[in-house]
Amino acid sequence: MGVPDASGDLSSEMEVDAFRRLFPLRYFERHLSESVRPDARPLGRARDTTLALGAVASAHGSALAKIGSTTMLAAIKMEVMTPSTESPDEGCIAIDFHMPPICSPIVRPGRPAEAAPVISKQLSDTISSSGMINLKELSLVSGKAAWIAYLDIYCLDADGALFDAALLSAVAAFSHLQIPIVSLNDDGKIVVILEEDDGTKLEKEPVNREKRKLTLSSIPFSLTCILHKNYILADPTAEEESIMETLVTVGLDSSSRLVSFYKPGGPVLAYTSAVQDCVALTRQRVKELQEILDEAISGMEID
Amino acid sequence: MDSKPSGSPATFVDHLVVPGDLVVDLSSMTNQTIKLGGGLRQDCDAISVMKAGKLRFSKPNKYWVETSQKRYVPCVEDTILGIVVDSKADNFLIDIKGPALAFLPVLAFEGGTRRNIPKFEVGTLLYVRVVKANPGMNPELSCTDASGKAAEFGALKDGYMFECSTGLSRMLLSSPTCPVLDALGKKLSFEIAVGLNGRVWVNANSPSTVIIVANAIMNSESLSGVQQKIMAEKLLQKIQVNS
Amino acid sequence: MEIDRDHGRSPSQLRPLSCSRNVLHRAHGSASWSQGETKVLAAVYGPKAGTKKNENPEKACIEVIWKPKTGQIGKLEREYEMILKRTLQSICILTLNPNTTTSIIVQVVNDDGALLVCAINAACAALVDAGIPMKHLAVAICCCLAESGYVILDPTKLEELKMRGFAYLVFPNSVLSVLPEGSSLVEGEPMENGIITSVTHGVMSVEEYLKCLERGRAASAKLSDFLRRSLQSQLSNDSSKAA
Repeated sequence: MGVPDASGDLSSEMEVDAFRRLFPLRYFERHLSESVRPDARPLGRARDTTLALGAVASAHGSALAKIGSTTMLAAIKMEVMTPSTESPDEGCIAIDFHMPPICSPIVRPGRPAEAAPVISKQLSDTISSSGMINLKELSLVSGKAAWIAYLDIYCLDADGALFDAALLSAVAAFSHLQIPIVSLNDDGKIVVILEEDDGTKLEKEPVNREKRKLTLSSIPFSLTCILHKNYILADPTAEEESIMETLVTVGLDSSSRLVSFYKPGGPVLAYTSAVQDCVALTRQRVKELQEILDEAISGMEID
Repeated sequence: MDSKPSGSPATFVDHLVVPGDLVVDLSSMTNQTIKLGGGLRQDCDAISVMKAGKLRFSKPNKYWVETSQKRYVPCVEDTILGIVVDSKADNFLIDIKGPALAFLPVLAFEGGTRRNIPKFEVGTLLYVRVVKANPGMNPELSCTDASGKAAEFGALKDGYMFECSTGLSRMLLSSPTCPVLDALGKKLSFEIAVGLNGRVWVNANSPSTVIIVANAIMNSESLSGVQQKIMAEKLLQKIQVNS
Repeated sequence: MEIDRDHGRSPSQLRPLSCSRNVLHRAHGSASWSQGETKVLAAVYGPKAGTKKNENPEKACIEVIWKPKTGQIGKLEREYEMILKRTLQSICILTLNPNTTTSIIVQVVNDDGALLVCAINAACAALVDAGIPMKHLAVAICCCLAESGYVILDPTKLEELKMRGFAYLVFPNSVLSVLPEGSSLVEGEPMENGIITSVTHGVMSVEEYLKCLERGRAASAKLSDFLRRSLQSQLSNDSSKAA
């Protein structure tokens, strides 16, 4: 273990906590050389992930996703709108990602976090390019009425891998989504039928009785990795992200097609082998996430 | 142009290099000491370029990249022109066209004591020397040479100051005297002070001379030596016709 | 199956490039870069004293301001700002000027496809012009996947509409080196094959992405030659007089 470095020698004399604060990079590298991370994970292992559907009762679809301590709350609210003339039989999705000051000491009240608009842009890119949602399913009356889905994601605790958790919560919220029943009134306007009215007033036929769930065709999942020297660390915490700055986010859909390969700069260059390793790690992770999602959905159906 | 770089650094000397180029191989010259100037850094076993410019070598062992910028990054022992922005109890604050204001201690003058602190108004132009330039700290200046003599340092009164690129100011200071100053000096008499931070001060008896000299120097920014000479001579001919 | 492109361009042919430096008088460094009809102007101010809150004062801070051709900046521009900032941070040597901020202002002059990569190239040339210390240069290239699976490079706005996938890739420039060939290989690949930045839109298979990488690398070698030539031709104008 003798490392020919000033800080390496100190590590045996200093308290672990002091060493971690004074030489964060060396602290991590000492762990990495033993193929373990400070939180006892192997390099390629993601943190424990939990998913709870229906976390917001008033929303039409919602989910709470936790990856380690990174927590995201996603909720969908459906509203009826007039579709645009270019695509008369398509609805639309509006995604917004919020980072309130509660989530991290970096975010200051009154000043929006720099990362928030970027992540919300990435989310809408990933969801639209994966083709997970067929926008035609959101149509009610061609040219007259269609659904607009407002997806709001709140970051409650930002501890690294924000995009992964946000995407997971978004996907889960869509699979939990229950589209409200609407009918046409006498003026030809769309009105929402409240659930309890269902039995009493049946004179107006609902427009969308069969279409209460969206069919999600190919669901995208993602995994963020850190590249540091020759190591690849899956699913970093905020501390790891701040010390080793090269992040790669790979998004794959359920049929293993690439929906995103996002590497915004960073001091480490990604060579072909690293690209392939990241993709392989993501493939494994997609399987895990798919199982977690399936479990959460089947858990809901039993209730 | 540089199709086959071989192992010797001589291949790159006097050539234009861009950031990232590896110009000296240290593993082949283990017993030698080399000195690096601006624009170069050591990257493991090689010397790598940080700024685009011409690689220069001076015997026996100095390498640097010659660049030209509009902004000045202070460097120890540079002589520069600074402008007083503020005066504090211990320091004058001087603008030197760099990232941070520089400090000129009130005692950094020949025979400077607490009793004879010079008074400079805000806006005074000073010819000074950089004595400390550490990253992360404000640079420190001095109005004396290394032996504590005033030499020619101090306030520049009257005259006219203009700004140029750092490359042009270095050219004006080069020896032998650069063609434009040479040509002007033969016909006109004037005083000039050039700071390596891209500031030039000119003074002469008549304002018209100051204007001619200043314009000639500013024009020579993008001219070669021969062109400079022609340009300066043309200017001088014109004034002789007029007067 | 071949793809018809405007002006009989082949799939991996880039549009005519042009780059000029020092186009703005007041900025400390500036460059305009155009690829066909797409044109971007970049200006660099700095290094200026101090860093913003939440930035590490032990390093230089880089700030990118994106100015669209018309209108206000939205989420797309914020994402571009972030990508540019992270990309430029990774090519600059930040430890040399700690506690300073360098601002890069990117003004879109005309957008005819491949806007982000054009902006990255412009910003990189402007940083060279300002003399900001850099590890190496960066060259950016936009690869597109047509419906048929064909990779085409450097699309125009019209072509962008027909594509199903995009990969914006940034690579280091190919450097000249005194080291013997093969000594600078990383994991069996030359340094300039490493990806600095990659952003993709649309769905593609992993094989298709790797194909884009390969085409992008081939094109980046050409781009990097162009960048070196254009930097050198302008430098030689500046420094011929300094000889």
